[in-house]
Amino acid sequence: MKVELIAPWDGATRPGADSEIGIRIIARSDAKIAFDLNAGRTRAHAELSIPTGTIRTLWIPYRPDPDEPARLGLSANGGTRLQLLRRHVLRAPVGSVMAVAAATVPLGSRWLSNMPGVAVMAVAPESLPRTLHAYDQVDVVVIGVSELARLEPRQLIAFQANLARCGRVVVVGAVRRMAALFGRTTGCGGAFYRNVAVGEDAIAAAGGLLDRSPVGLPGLEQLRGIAAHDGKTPVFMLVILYLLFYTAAIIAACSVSRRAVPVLLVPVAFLVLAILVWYGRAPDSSLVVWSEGESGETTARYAAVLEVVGRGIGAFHLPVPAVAVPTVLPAGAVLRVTLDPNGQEKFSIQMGTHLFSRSTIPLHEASNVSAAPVIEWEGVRPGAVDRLFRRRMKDRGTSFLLPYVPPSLRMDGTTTPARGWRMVISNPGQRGRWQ
Amino acid sequence: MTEVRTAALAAMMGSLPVIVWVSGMLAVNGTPGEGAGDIFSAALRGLFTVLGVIAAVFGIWCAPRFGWRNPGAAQIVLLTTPLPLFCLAWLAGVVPLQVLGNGLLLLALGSLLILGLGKAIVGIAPGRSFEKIALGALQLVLAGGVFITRDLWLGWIGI
Repeated sequence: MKVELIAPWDGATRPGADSEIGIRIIARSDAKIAFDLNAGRTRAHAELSIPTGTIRTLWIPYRPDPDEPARLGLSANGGTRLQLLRRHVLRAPVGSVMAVAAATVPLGSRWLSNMPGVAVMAVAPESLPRTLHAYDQVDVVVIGVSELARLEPRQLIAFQANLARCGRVVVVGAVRRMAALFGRTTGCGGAFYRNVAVGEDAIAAAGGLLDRSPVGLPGLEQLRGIAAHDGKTPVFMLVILYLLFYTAAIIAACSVSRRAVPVLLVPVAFLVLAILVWYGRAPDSSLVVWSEGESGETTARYAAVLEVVGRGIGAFHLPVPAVAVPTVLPAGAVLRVTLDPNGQEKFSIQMGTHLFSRSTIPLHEASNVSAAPVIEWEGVRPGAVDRLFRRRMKDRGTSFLLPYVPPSLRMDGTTTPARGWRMVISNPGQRGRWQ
Repeated sequence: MTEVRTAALAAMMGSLPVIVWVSGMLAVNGTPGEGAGDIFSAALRGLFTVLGVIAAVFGIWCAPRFGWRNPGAAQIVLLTTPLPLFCLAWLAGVVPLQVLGNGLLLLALGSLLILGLGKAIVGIAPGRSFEKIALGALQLVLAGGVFITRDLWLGWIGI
């Protein structure tokens, strides 16, 4: 069995930004493989069966630690080994990173010196990412139309997901039909997508895109503020009641009995009660999604937060869509990776919980692409949601808000209720599709 | 079985401030997340220290009054009274069961040793007044010693 670790962007990495790791397994005989990936705050575990002569490649999002290589512990057919992925780290004072995958762009020409603080790297199309996460490593991508044609389907999906998420992209030499196709899937009204005819114009266009940034989505605290509360009695109230009753019971037992057994029975009974009530209890979990998209767009960026509140010693397991896989996991949480029949990775978060534990897991910012938003209307917005909406409207302009959860985050069949909102921002005349 | 009631009430009186403090902290913090570790760690340290001091004072108090059986039962009651709080600390993921077991075992052995020490003094004391003074002094020394060296033995337990 041979195992190769693959890094995107020809191995360059920027500290603090998400990336991906490719694990290519070439099985020379039937193999049962288990691996544990430890990188930064990402812990991933997978168990796979690989038949003889097959090659499987898994792409796992993670956040690299600039000082530590990613560690992959492999167990296959009884043996174990450790493999490290070291990467070339792009360190300060790099301000922005521009990745150029276009043979027609003349790198090294004089206009590069006009962009101080921008690190420009030429990359091969094969090293473009397979996951959306790895696009966080660069600020702008310049790609030629012939390089675009060489992308694998998976790379193309990630590329389009980056466009939809308002990633800065310059395409060199796209024909009108292709430009129109990309134009339709870009987020932020297409403000961060440029199509240039010749390579000489690409860097200037990319530099122009670097001068502005998409408005950030609500942060972790804001999303926590609108998290759903299902009206269950908070666990701390139950514990306080439990302690209160216990104190009363032990004092009563001491008052009425002079024998040891009844006095001993009270703490033992309350011990058993605590174990019955709080051992093996599934946690409360909820997912909150905030999407923003411009009027007429079929894409909407979203930020989502998963909150898991322990109600005793228990376990939590939740499937998450690949684009939203979190790379920063709480201590003890593991990302489980399995392969579906088509060879695509499926991810789920697995963690143990205990009494009073509270984990807030921000999912990776992504975008939802759909033919049209599903419109539902509850009529009433909770106060916290309304406050956040009004605050966002100051930045984004005239908008309206719909209750909306992207289909991939609906968590059907799980015990995690998902609540979400979609802010539709007025964009008069910019796209012209609705005029 | 006055000693059993006394032991249970002493343990309860020792545990009550801890229970009130834990309840107060939970009421203030709601579901404290990682903060629960700090609350229950502090509660456990306080509880074990209080139990250690009570076991020292109580063991010597029992020595001249009763035989072995009733004080033994009383010591068991003393150590089992805070069990629900220990259980909550375990459910909150603060300590593994083994650590709690180690702590209770240490307290149980310590209690027996103190009771034996008290009985030995009762056995060798030349008169009632000397016995009283010696036991009183021993109570003070042991209770003080348990309190002063708490970091040492709590560290050994792993709390």
